[in-house]
Amino acid sequence: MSRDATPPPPCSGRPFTRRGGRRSPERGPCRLIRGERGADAFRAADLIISRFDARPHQNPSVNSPGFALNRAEWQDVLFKGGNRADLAACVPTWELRRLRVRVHRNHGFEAVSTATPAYAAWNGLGFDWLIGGYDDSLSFDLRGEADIDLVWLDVGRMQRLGEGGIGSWLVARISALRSQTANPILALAWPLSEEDLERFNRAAIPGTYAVDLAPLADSLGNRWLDTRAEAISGTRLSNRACLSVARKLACCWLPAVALAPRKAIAVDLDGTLYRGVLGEDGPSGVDLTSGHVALQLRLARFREAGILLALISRNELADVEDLFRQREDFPLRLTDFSAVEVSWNDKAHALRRLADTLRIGTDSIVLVDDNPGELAAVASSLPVVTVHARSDATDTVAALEHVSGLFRWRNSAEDRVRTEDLRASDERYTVLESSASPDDYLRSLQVRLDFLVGPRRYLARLAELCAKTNQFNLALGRMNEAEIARKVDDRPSNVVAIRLADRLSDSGTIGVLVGHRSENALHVEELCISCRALGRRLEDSMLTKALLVMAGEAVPQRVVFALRKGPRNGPAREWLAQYAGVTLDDGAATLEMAFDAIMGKAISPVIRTEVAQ
Amino acid sequence: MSATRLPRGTNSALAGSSAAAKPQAGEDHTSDATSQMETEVQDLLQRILGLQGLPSARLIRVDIEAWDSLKHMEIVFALEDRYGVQFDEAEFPTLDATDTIASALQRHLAA
Repeated sequence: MSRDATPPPPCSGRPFTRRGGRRSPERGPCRLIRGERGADAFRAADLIISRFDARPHQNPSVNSPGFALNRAEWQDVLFKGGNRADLAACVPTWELRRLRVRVHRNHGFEAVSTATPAYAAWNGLGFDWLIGGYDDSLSFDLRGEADIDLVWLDVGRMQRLGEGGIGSWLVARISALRSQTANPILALAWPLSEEDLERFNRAAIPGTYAVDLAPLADSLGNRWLDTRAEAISGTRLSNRACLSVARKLACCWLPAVALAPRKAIAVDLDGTLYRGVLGEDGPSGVDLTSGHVALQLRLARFREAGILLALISRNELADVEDLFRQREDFPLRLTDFSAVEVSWNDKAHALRRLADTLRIGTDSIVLVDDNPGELAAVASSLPVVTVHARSDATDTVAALEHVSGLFRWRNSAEDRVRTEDLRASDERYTVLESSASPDDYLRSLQVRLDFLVGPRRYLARLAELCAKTNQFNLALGRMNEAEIARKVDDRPSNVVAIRLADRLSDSGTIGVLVGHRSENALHVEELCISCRALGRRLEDSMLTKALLVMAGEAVPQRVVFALRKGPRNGPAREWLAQYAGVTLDDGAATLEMAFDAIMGKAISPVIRTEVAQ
Repeated sequence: MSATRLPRGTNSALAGSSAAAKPQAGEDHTSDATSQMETEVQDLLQRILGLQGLPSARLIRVDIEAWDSLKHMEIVFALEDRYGVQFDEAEFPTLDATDTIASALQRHLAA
């Protein structure tokens, strides 16, 4: 089997690729503004808007070139200081995804909530705040529909609890709130001692996140508090403190509890990772400023946290390889990029190929480029999130750190091995090519599957799978941590986690089955399998074993799978139909099969399986 | 929707308005500076109150329903951010019209 030049289909198991291309005489409209900087670049990019948007007076949508250019223009306002007067001028003309946040508080929150709109809009979001009355006791009597519950607490008002009492009290109150709602809960309580924060985190209340405000407070020093303004704001926190909290809430903390994370950052080269143009200045002539060092180091940290890096550049591949070989002062190495697209062709097309290589959707990619015209052109055809790379790269870092979905509350072991796991796909492809049969392939890989029943310690990872998996996701239920925890509470075997390892890598927890029992049936409410576990022909064995584990000794008569058609889960639905031996209607909401049929399915004997309670 | 009740510690003085300070007759330079300051303040008020595009008459808090305690807080903070000043707590209630705000800012900036 030979590798061809055409991009592989999604989840095909194709390996890490590096593509170059010959110089093309047709460089596309973005070539017009290559090398331009500052205001000139934005004016030139307006020409591109007029070519892409035939109705210039219509409000641009999130994926329009106007959105990309507005994001670039807003960066300085939002992330260099942040001034309320200037924030008020940042009015979005695009649609926003609304999130409803219910706020339980004992001090003024409005100085924070009123500062969030511009930051949220930059990320395509809008928050609808339902703010309760002042309540030191946190009785949680605030009613109203919400997507997220937020607790905003000035612990300084609660000294009567005495030393060491705050942490325990907070655990008790948040547990009470958890019993009332399955929403993610964000707790912003200040000041909290390290012991109290540790006590809260040790309680491990599912789907609950405590923000440590101490770093923000320390960064502002004596500007953190302003009792002078408490008369009008209702809080001791200063205007500057509230702005800082608003920025983090809107860009990082709230999106991280409610939305799927971003999976990759695609970066340009010239003017982005260094100052200069490789084709003109040569490898030794491009300038690695201290700001660009900071940017490369930050990208490296994103990579360590499990966010994939990709390189996308209009250059000669040989020049790029020379660059990374010669410039040992670059913190990033070429091998740090899980996919490399270097050519003179259209960047949108290159980005699609990157997404295929990385087995992710383009909507989970962040594109960083110094050319606003390129950003606009790509954003006009793909739902990527864009960041304008600045000449002072510390500004680029500031913007990048506020792209929603890049901040994560927890980094799992799966996150940390993602890059290496993807690289192992390359070797698996080689093994596949040399294998005589599917069993021979699996035997060579020494595949091991572990099935964990009611695994509380993996709740966060299971919720992440439900949130992130778009392709092999049958019901698209997007269950969160608290909802999965409730399933486990009802009956541990309602939730089965699947872990996968072979001799090339340990992929960690890559699948989850969530269901419940009725008298005669097993109801599967959610089945998600991570893309990086696919392509090893294990799906049938995974599902069969997981269902047997879930059923236990009380064998049901039938299994009912909940289904929901999404934009990208067609192949998973087709696979299930094949597994069940039925034809699936497009609009089918369930699929039933006799449990006897499942018990009759063979699990490859070369796969080692373990079941852990 | 957030409640627009007055925050903790607020007293009734915040809801009222003080007598507006009249600009002093004087040199053209002072008059121009005052006019420029009032124009800037007017623009900021319109932006925060969502009154952009409307006729730019002098804005007075008691006449504007949208100028509640919440908006007042935003206005004070925006003014402090924009001009790098810090008003005394006693001044907050007096910042209730375009011209009184402009006068207060000029006093702080001249200090």
